[in-house]
Amino acid sequence: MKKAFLAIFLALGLVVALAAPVFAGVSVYNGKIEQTVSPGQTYTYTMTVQNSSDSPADFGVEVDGYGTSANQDFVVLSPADDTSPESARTMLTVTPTAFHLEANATQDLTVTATIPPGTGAGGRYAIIFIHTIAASGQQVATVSAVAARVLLTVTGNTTDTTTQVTALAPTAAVNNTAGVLVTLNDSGNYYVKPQVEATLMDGSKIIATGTVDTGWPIIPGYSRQYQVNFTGSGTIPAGKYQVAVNVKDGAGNLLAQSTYPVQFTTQQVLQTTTTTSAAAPGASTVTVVQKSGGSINWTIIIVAIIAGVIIIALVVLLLQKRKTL
Amino acid sequence: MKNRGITVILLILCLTAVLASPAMAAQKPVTKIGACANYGGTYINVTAPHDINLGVMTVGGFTTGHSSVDGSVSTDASTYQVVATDQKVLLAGYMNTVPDGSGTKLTDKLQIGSSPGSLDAADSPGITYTDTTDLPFYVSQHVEPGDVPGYYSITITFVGTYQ
Repeated sequence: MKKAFLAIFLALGLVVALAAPVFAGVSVYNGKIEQTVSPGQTYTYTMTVQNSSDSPADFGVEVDGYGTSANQDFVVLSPADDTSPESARTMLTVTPTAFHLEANATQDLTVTATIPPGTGAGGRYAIIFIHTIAASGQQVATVSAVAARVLLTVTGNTTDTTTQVTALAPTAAVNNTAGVLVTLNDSGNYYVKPQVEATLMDGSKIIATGTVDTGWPIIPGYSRQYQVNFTGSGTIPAGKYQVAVNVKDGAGNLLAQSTYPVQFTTQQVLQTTTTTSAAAPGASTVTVVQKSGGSINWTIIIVAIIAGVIIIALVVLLLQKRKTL
Repeated sequence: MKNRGITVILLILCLTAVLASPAMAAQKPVTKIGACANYGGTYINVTAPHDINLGVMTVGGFTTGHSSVDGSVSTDASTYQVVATDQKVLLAGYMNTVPDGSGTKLTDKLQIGSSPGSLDAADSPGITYTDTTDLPFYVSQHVEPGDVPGYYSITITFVGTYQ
């Protein structure tokens, strides 16, 4: 009886301990480089990587390309896909590129930027890709990573922020909210952080306006789409309209201007407040709460199992004591 | 008396093992005050959701799953994003018999999303998390009748960055 109880108890404990999910988290400090550089010079930077999980983990670091896509503000490009003339990938090295960290331990990374003599003016962009190594072998494994963005400005002539509005289309947004999808392309040699203003017009009459300012840059040679919803009150009848688009930089300089015809096939609703700009998350200033949790509360389950086993153990011990007496 | 002593020791050992397990530690909310002055500078922390085991997938239908524990992101930056995609170079988005994509793939791409109702291809666009500290993770895989039986896997990378 006693042996059986002990076996069950041990098995329970081991199952709970071994089945516990292991979280491989990564923290990066100083994970962004934004610097003006000169040809022929070498610069070094230090980032700190921390294993933020409670178990040892292996980490890898690579220098990759930095791009944007139609629906992503940053894309980590493999060397094969990084064909932009504004890439800084080949100018950068990082050490170490692979390391093991105990729980909560840290590792400094040294990033060296060597700017070749004769490098032309403009921006140069890359990503220092810092990641855990997948080790689970599960069907859908997950990896934690940080993209440390590198935005270098090479001194020289005036930077080129030529930007085009390459497409505009009305969108079938939720609840028929009046909006358009604006596609911008940065064809210059320097990133732009566009402020997109769209004005819905019926002839010369302004019907509504909308703006988007995400703060994320478009990397030269890449495009990005922006959903601009028109704000105001009331509705807009179905029909043909025009949309005038102004694209400005952070200083308010006009980068691009275009007008497109649009047709709404159904009545549209104006959005009462602007929500299309990227809102600042709550964890912005003093207190940041890192919350782990999911659909299953493992803590409650584990505590319940422990409590149950302890109660059973005590009852068994008491019964044995009575028998002995 | 001797047996009772062994029992007590075993109890203590088991409790220690359970309490020291990562699950317990991972579930504790961690509060970080300020900009983590230990190392200086802006920081970002990304913890990916837990792996998903789909089991034996249904031929001719969809097999779905989700992480039993959400991932999380924390930072002292005012604006940040986390993007989840399959980043392998070969045949991105497909579950494959070889992790690097050099083996046999399923016909259809894995669909991933932050909720069961909004799933997209695992390579592009994947999932973009904004204005959130929780990273829920849902997947769905359709298996065609012509797909070759075998063990298929994929790795989804959760990449965070800040402005």
